[in-house]
Amino acid sequence: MLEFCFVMKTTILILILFIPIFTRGQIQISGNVSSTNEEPISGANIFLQGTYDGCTSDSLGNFLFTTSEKGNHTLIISFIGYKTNGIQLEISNSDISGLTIVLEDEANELEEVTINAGSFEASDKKKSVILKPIDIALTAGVGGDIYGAFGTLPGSHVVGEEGRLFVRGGESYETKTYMDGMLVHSPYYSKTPDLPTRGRYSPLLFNGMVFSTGGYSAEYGQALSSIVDLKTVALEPKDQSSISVITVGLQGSHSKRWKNTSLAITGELLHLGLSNKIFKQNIDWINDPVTAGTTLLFRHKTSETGMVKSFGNFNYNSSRMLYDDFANSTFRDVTVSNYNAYLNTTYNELINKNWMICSGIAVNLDNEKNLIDAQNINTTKKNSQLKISFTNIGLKNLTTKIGADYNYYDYNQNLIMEDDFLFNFSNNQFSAFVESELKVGSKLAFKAGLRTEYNTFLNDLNLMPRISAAAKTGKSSQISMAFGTFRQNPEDDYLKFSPTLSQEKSTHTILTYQYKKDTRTFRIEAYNKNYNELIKFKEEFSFEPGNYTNNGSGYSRGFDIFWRNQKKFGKSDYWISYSWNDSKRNYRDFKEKATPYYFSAHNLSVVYKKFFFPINCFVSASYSLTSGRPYYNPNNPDFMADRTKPYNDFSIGLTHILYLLKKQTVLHLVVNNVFGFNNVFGYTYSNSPNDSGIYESKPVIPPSKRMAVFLISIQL
Amino acid sequence: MKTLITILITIICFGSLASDAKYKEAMSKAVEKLNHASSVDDFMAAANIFERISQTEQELWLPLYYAAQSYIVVSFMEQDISKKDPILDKAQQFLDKAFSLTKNESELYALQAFLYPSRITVDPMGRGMEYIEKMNQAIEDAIRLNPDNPRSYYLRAVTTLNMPEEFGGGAVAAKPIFELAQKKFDEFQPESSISPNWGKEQNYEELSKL
Repeated sequence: MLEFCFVMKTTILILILFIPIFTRGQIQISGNVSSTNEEPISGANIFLQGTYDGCTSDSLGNFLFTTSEKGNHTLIISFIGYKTNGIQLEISNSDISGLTIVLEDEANELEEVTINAGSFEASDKKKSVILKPIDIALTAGVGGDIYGAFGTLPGSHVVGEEGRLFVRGGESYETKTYMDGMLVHSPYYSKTPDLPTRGRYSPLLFNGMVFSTGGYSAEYGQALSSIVDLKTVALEPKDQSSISVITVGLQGSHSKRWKNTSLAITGELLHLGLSNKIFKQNIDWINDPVTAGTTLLFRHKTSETGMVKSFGNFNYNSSRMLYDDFANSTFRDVTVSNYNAYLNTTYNELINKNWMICSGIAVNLDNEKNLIDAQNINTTKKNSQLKISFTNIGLKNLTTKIGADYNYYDYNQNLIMEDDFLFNFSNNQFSAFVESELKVGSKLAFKAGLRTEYNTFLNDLNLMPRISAAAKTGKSSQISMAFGTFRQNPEDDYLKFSPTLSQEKSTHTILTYQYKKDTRTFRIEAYNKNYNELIKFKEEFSFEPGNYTNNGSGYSRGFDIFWRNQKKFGKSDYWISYSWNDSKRNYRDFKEKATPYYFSAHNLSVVYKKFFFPINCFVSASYSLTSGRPYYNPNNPDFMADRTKPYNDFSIGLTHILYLLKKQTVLHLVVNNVFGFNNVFGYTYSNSPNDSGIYESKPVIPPSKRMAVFLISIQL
Repeated sequence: MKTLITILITIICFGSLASDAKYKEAMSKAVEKLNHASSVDDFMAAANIFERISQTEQELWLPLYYAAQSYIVVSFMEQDISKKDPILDKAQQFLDKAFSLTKNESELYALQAFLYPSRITVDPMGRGMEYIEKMNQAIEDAIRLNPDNPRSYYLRAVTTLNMPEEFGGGAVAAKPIFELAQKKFDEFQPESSISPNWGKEQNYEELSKL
């Protein structure tokens, strides 16, 4: 009996335990999912948390599913690109219908307003950028040169015989290069007469680049027109080595990775001997150009948010040629050799949840020897910089950065002719800046900054206010503006004679409209730039040392258009940039306001890229067209009134990735000026007229009509 | 008392058996749905079901595997390159979670190898080198952990097929790998009816074209 009772009890127990299963009735839950801008979301996952019960919304955003659950539950609604939503439901015996669920876009950079007047950014990390560093490395016709690649972007003028950046009617010295926020004093290799130079650093060392054609932050000083800010890579991903054989030399790299530290070393030895034999040179080389260099990158992660980065680069380049000094009707034996060492170390850390510190030290040592026949010009430049800045990120909508930097500069030139001349000066520059950015919602942003600089050598103190703002005009478009004052010390060649000069000055006004949706970017920017206090010689055509004033002035205005469409995979990717510029200045030896030699009114560049997947081959082509440039013709009574014919270039690049002996190998071929356009950069005139009273001329042309470089790089 | 304990244990076991049966049933249905999916909507719906199951079965890697697989297929079908990365990020989240549950599952490495080529399509030049290397590594890991997993060979065959002939790729080089994969597919016995068992038809299709 007792046993029976027990069995009964357990039976009841079992029954009780199973009752919920038997009494479950199915109820329906239905509703609709849409985005904040009232578009239906299809494909969203709607389910009761902790159960299998749920469904997927249809093309109209509608959903309906049944469940046997009862009581309080959380209904989860999730979809890619939107913030997951959860709502509390009390499920009883009746159906739940008409649920209206709105999903909010995940705030992404693309949607948020960014102040971008004047600046082009290339980054691997940010979504909002227009270019990737690899775009820069692989653009045909620029030979892997950072400055060459920026030359395909709107705002820059093609100046073939220089190889440096000339931005919006500005001289090349008006563009300054920064690396991780530190000034790079000699970013280009030394220059030989009438031949283009190039940047010292490979674009592959950087994972972010900003090219600003005006209106930049108060953090940057000493640039009248433009800045290039390069961000070095963080920790190397792993141990690896590579070796490259190029028709112009050898390159190699090795990197080592520890847990929080990495070290990378690269080396290169370039010799243009072979290449100069293949591609007929217009230059009479006595010693072909040689470059030897090495770069060291040390990175150490000090904490989750802190990083110490050191960058060191040492290089040497040299060449010797017989230079046709047409102006003086003679040939000169010109040797140029340059040693450069650049080191910087930066330390960035989040001090607490409100403050971030960025600090750095940089040293540059540059020695250049120019031997022109018996003349020997030996120039040594020493530069060191200390910089520190603090950024407050504690407030939700207001970011403030304040900082100071100190720059020491020492210039020493020894001219050995019949007599010896020594020119030297040194300068201590103290600067400080403060800049705040205010965001009003995600649609409006304002930035105001102030920079001040004091130079001991010039003994002048200046203030430079800068403001900028941006506003969203639609889901995918925004307008942005910038206004500011920019100052720069006169070039060494004037300072070495005249300590009484003051800083040159420019003011920028920029207005930008940008539309970026999916794969397409359209951008148009109008600007006006005024120059004051430019160096001007007291007398026309007089180069007499020390005869300088700050009375020069000028203007530059124009607009830039940029269009890029990165189509669906396998199709093309291209960008078109067009710039129109109107600028005149009265500076240096100019007798009146005129367009300087590097000016070109129209610059068009088209870059096209396509990946052919079946053959693993990447093809890049670029075309640039530049309208005629002014040159001085002494036979023409009008000053700087003559124009060269337009400049044309079509270049292609082919990159192929394959596995050779199981090693990843890259083959890269670039051919410049494929069609062999005869380009003329300008004309050099004889200093004295011939018998019939005419000044004879000689065109300044590229060193070779075409140029091709082949590279094979193996990952070891 | 003893009997009570026995009964209680039975009940508990029965209960867990019931939930296991529910899991198997839900998974079977979902796998069926995935196998018959042909449009983005179908794959999204399948992905959502697997995601729901994975939310409840926190200790099992298989729902995560299928959720990731569905998203990877969606990413390949997506025509707008700007939308691919968010989809692949989602797939990778499922994969990462699955890897955190089991370290030595060959199928997960094979699926990882299947994800990388989709990443490459977003930016072939910028990502090609990095991801081809990662993909090869994942295939090697998948083979090392289970030399009989046919999907590793199938993926290797496809990669080889896409490489040019003069550098060890192409149809001629790929054919024996497809054949090996076919052999492995023929021999392959899935652990259960809901274990990964895809690729045989695709492999056969590719092979028949050569």
